[in-house]
Amino acid sequence: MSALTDTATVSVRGLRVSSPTAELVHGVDLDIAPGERFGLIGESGSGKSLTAYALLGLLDEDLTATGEVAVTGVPGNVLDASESTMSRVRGRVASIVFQEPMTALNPLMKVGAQVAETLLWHGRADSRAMAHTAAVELLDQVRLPDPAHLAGQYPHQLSGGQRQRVVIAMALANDPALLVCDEPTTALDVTVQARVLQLISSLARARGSALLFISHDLAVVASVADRVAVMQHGRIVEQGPVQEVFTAPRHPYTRALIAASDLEAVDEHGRLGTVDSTHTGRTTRKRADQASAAPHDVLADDAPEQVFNAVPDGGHALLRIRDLRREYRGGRRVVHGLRGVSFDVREGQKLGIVGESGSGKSTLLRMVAALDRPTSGTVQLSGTDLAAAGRAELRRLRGDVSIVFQDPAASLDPRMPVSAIVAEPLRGLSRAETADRVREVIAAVGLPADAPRRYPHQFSGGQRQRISIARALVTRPQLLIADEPVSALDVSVRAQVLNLVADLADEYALTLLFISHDLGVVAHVCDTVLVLADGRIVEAGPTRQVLEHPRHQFTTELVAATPRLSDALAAHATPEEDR
Amino acid sequence: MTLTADPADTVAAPAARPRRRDRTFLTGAVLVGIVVAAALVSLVWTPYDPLPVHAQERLTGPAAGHLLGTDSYGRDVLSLLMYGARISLLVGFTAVLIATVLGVPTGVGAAMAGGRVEQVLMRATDVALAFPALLLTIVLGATFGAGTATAAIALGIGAAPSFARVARSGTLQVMSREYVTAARAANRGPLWIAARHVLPNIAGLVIVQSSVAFAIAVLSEAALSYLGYGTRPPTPSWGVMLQDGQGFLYEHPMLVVWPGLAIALTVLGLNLLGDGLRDWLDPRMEGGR
Repeated sequence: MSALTDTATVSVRGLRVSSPTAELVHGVDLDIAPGERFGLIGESGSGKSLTAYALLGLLDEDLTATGEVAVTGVPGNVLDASESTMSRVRGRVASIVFQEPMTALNPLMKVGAQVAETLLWHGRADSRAMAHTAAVELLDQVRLPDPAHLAGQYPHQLSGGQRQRVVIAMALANDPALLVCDEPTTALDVTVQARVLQLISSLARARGSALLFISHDLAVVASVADRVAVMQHGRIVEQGPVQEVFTAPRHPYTRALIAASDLEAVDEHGRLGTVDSTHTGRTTRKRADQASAAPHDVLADDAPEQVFNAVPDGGHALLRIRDLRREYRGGRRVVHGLRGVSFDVREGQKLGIVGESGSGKSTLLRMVAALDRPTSGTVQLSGTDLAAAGRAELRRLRGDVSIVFQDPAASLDPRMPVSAIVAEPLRGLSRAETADRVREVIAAVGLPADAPRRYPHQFSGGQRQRISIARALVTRPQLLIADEPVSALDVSVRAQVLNLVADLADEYALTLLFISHDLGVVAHVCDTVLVLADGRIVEAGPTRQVLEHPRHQFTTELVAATPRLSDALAAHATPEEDR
Repeated sequence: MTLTADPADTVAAPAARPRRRDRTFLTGAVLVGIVVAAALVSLVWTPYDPLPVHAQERLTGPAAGHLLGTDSYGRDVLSLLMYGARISLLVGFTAVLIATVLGVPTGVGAAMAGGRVEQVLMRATDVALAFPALLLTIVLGATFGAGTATAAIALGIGAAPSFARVARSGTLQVMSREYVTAARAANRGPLWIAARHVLPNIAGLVIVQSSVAFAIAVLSEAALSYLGYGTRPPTPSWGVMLQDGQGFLYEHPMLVVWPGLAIALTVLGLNLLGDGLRDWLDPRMEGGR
């Protein structure tokens, strides 16, 4: 247990952080009491990470910080402390867990050695042997399986969730008074996230460490923190106990943020509340509620040829996939991307595909878009077998399928103007026709008329995703595949883009294949859902039914692990020990 | 309080470049600029005609009329330097051009083709890399006659492998980006992807490599000329000036210092320019949120 007095663990007064060109944090005041769990919420550019880095002396060299920052165990103002003082503080009195565990760990050092290193450096262990024993025990405390064996492995041999646990073990090794977590679970799968959050929460409590938890995800913060502060544009706009702030928000931004991240709340037209909309009623007329004739099937062990979401032979099936398999051979190792997937997609259907990393979602996408060939199995698009199609036919078929990718920054060529990006899929049209089409889709996605002349870096993330959508629509496709289209966007922008996709799907009569790991998002846009795990479909059926009455174990786990604001707030009403 | 639909509607203007980097670029640009200016001016005017011999005025130090003195043939050193600048720049430019034309398509083609084609091309490049440029110059000189042109071509061929390497790794990076996947999904073939996506995005890398190769070419030309395999006297290049001045090292050291200084400052300028260009182009190439 850390020995603390009654004084606050963290005390910040008037913190200002500036870059050479602009002020990024405009005077932040906050206190964290010993053992308290404090959540900091904000979107990109809000200054939440900078505030946290200031506490540990981790600000970039070009940034200047003024104000008073007091952290227990550090004499005087942290901002004035020397690097040598801070290097003795970090890892012992205060630790930080970052978002991406792979970059936080030394790839050339065994995992056990890295944990042992932090013990040795801060004088908590006297010898290598002692440090190693203590390290293995720590790995056990973060609930890693077979810790003695795992200690001898390298970071790349572990999964993302396991790596993050190692980082947490390193952070808590010396019983710090303050643990800072900067989006620690954002890069992890949903089921892993739930477990890691619980781990952080319980370990911090057991050791009496104060916790500063930073995230953009309201539900996640609500499940971990007792008090919360909301930041916008470098200022704290609201602060208070979690229950209070989330159920009775006072600041308009907090209200808007809650509305935008609550994908349960839609207005009478079935549209999500966005940051700039005022929504009144809470009628749930989500797509998930619309009657879907799809059968609710679950993977049966003895039916290998099971076809999910089957469309009868006379019906209009846009896509028929039978026993699709994809193996990747790397030397002696074989990785199974897809292990026999069979399903249909009806014209006009909005099908969601849910799965975690490694489930085969991306592989499936590449098969359907004819970007890759399966090892075996068939993909039939509008009745034509893709494998048997000739080059010319394949080209024509590709024109019927469009993809919207996940990362708005990476999916647009930074050297091309928007007009060229959007027009890229168009062929065989005159210049005037091309320009007309471009203008049409740019307007359809709600971008300003001068957008075609500009370059991607001049747009925000949400706008870039709109450009991506415009590019997907320009060929007037029949099938639109959206690969995690809102995962990389800020919460407040997500709702806008989802509304846009839903509107366009209706307007252009698109068949939609919506891939996501986020059940809330899928429930909003799709009437039918397919659950993928480990290269197989495990369950499929109408969205509402599958999510409320999951039949397969994996789906049940997934639904249970998804953080929901309402659940998290309800949990706050229950006593501490039950959490 | 007003709520904006998109909190960060347009990305904030890029942060001001740290002044350290600006100075590198500026210094490099100034140095190179001086050399280029001297070369250009020499096309129309030099203080004295550098070619004819004036035996009477040999080896004067800085005297009235000759800012930097004269050499062993009575030629004005300043004029010789200016003429030499022309040669250095010409050789550098030709070498870089040849290297780019040979190396970049090889690298891009290898990366995009992959498999056996890539292996064959890159191993061939490795063989070329192992071949010393000096040897190549001698061989070419023996076959086609020694001179500035032969040296330039030999240096160009010698620099091509590094361009191929750089182009290949740049292309591999670009090919792994999502916008290339998007282009393939949009039905675009490899030629289009190479022309519209790969080349513009590796341009920065190639430019930086060019400035480095340019500097090496200038240095190599001087070395070759000094050794007698490059520019042939009486055509004055900086290397030839070194060769001439060598015999008078004790009595008139400045005859060697001036061309040496010219070479050093040119190479320094080109390297700084390359560094500055790389720093300037790098953040823009990233794109970012």
